[in-house]
Amino acid sequence: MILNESEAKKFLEKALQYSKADSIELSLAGFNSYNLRFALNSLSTNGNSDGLTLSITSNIGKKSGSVSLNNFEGDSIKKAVEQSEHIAKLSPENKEFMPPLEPQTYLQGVNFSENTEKLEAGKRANLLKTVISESESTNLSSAGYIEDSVQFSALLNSKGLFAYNLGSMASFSCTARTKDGTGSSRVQNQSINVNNLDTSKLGKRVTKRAAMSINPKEIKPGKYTVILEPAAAADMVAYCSYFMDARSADEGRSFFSKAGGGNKIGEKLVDEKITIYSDPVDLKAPGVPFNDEGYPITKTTWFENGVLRNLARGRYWAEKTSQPVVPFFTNIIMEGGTKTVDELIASTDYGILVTRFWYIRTVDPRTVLLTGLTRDGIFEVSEGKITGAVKNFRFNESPVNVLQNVLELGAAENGVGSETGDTQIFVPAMKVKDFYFSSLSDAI
Amino acid sequence: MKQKTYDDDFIKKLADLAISLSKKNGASYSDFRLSNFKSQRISTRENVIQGISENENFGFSVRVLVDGAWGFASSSTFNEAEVKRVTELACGIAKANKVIQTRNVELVAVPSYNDTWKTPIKKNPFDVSIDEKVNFLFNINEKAKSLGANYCSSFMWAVNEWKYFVSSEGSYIKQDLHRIWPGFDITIINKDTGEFEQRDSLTTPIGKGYEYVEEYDFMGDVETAVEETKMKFSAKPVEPGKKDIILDPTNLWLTIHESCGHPAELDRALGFEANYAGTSFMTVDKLGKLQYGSEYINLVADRTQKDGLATRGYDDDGVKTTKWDIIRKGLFVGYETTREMASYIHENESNGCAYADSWSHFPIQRMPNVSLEPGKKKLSLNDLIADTEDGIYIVGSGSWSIDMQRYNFQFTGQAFHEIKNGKIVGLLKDVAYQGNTVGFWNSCDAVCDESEYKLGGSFFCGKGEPSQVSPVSHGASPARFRKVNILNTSKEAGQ
Repeated sequence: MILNESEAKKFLEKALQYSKADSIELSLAGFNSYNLRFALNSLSTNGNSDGLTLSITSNIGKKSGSVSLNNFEGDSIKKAVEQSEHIAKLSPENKEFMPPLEPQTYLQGVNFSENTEKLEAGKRANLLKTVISESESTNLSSAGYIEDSVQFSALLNSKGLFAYNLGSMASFSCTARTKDGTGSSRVQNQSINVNNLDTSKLGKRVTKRAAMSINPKEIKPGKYTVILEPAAAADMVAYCSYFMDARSADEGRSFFSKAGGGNKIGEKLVDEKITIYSDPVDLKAPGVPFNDEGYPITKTTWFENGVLRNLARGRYWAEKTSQPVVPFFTNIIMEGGTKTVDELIASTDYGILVTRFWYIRTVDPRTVLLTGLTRDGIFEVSEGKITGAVKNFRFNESPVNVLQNVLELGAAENGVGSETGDTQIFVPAMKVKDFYFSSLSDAI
Repeated sequence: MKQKTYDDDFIKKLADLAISLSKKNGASYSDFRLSNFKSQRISTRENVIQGISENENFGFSVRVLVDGAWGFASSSTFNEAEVKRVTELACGIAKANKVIQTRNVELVAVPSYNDTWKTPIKKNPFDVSIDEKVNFLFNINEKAKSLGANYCSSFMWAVNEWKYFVSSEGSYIKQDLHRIWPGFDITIINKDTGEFEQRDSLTTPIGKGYEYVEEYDFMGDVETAVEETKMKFSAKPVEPGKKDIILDPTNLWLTIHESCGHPAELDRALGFEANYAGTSFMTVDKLGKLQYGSEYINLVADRTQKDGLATRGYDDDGVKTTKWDIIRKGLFVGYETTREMASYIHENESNGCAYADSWSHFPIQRMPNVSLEPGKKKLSLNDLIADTEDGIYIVGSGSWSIDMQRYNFQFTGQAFHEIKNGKIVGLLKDVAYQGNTVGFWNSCDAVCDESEYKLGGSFFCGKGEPSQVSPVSHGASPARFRKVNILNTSKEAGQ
């Protein structure tokens, strides 16, 4: 269910009037989304869902209680407010309690497209029809997914803070597998504007890559120069961001902790080619311009020419350490070079081209050591050309090492990793030395 | 907090409306699901409350089969007008999507049921006061700190899933499901060197009520956790190479989950998850032929298992739950199926694995509880350790990763006990074990008996597009695996 700004404000003001607490923070989120899934070149599941959820946090002194509900008949809202106050009364004082924020000023969001909102059922199916037809005509078995949604979020608190954002997202992905089971490739794209999903072009790319990926040869595990396409690069950069928390660093339990105390802000930790920032109103990767407390999100630089410039810091820890509040990443934008992936390949004597990663998990937070697999196309590059497909690998590698070992950056573009969720990421393909593939996988 | 409670007659009236309207719109099959997912989560660190929240997520969905194509729509607004709108939308979606339906959906038969099922809990966690829970968690944190932990976080998460299923085949099924997950983690730091070590609790999410919290020895776990974490600083780094390992149930459950539970999902083996979670090496041609493991390996699927997270009376297709073999004496003999998937391998019945994690999601095939049967011969953990010359006994689950066809995996744990000449001689550190599924399970040469059997599990097994989670349990007794590839994770990081 989508409410406009005025409707959302009225809804929240009605909930606010039930409050008897010292302060209250309300959050309203609504969505309407459609999805279509296909496998074996045919429709599998699909759906539409429409919902609205109200979250209530009541504060009595320094005690807080939170409740959420999505059914608003009768006196549900009043009862939910009362329940949140009841929970607050039963709770001990929160020693790290932060009062609700005063009214704030926000950047104007740029993360909504009417084209996505107005997409019709027939057109949605037809977007997939071209891809499926392409797969069938090239004797491949394809599976994929398209989802388009409109969502809004609104905040109101008893100090008068009000925030509203309307957003949209359309995402498409497709995996094409050869019928003999020796080849697989995948494409994906997401945008606030469904018209930017050129499924026909993506369909041609995935079938071409699937044909290239067949009968992979085995090469030995070890360290290699790799070219990470944007989907793989997105995972590395996103995973690095998950560890970038100031409090954990200051408390001595993070890679970003300094021996003897403090954190590594100001130190050159990665290659000087690396500059990464967030900016919710950057059209390359637009996001929501406030966090769930209503704190405004503006441009934040995380790495600048290889130097760590910021770690995420919440309000309590900012106050305690007399440092600025730094809201967590709302999107990730990394500056790149000018070369296409093909040009990076052309300038590589020997290396491995990686389409994407899969099943990445943390092995050791002390070193940010991750493990995961390559997937859906990994190719040997020799003397500037792709010479053939190779078998998939498991890797044990750190994203910090990856960013330290960058040799060259391609032109940045939209990147959707396997572990990046809904975060909008704009990253370049990266040529990286000494990437460690630890063992072989028979998986296709 | 309770969302508005609708009376049974009203719910049935709207459910019947959805079914009859679906038929009028050309549906050969339809079902209606109304559900309320209620959860309460309390999280703390040291002496600080991080959050106390109660959430209810209520809504309904209508799923239809029109001319062999699925249509699905859902809403959180529950009244007659909305049920009509959603039903017509579901039918419209099915018709619109027919252009990309090249193969009609077929469902194997199922009897109709008029039934109610409840998780047999002793104490409803939602009836336990918040301050009792908060004090319990603070006591854990305080104990950990008093023993020398620098940081301790603890949490408690309770879920109640209520659902009402009605189908065009005449089923009316009501279920009231409970599960709970308490736990903690500790960190000890060495400020001078910048090193830190951690250990999670050995608790498990489980299909029980608050009695699990009262029965589990939390303070014992805290004492062991702090002691082991201190020992990790000076523990010997493991020498990589091939070693015998004994996996405690607190670790083995995850290996079962990743390397058996998932590849035995028929939809995955057929290609329906190819775009996301992957496919499976356990393809249909291997059923009845693949020697998946040694003769000691009997892996059983069971959605009736006591205290199991995936235990319930009926699945979300309205199929009564049951128990069956996936691996028997090492041979691959059975898949996990739904009404739609079973038709692909010409089985006449589904074994009841359909599940949707929300009213707003289409039910897909999900993992049942899958457990390793205990050994028939008397064998305790102490006996097994005494029988092992040179090995590592691994406790608790840590990092996990497996490839997209379920061959190559890598796992860590919480504590690694070195075994020499039948005795535990100390802790090791930086241990990971890496293997390939069939080789690994064929290397098993001993499984302890029933006296050592424990359940492990997860609240959040992930699959599907849009992504869904599913709770699932895995039981096991400690088991030994020979000559498994052991990595030193610090050396891997420095490669």
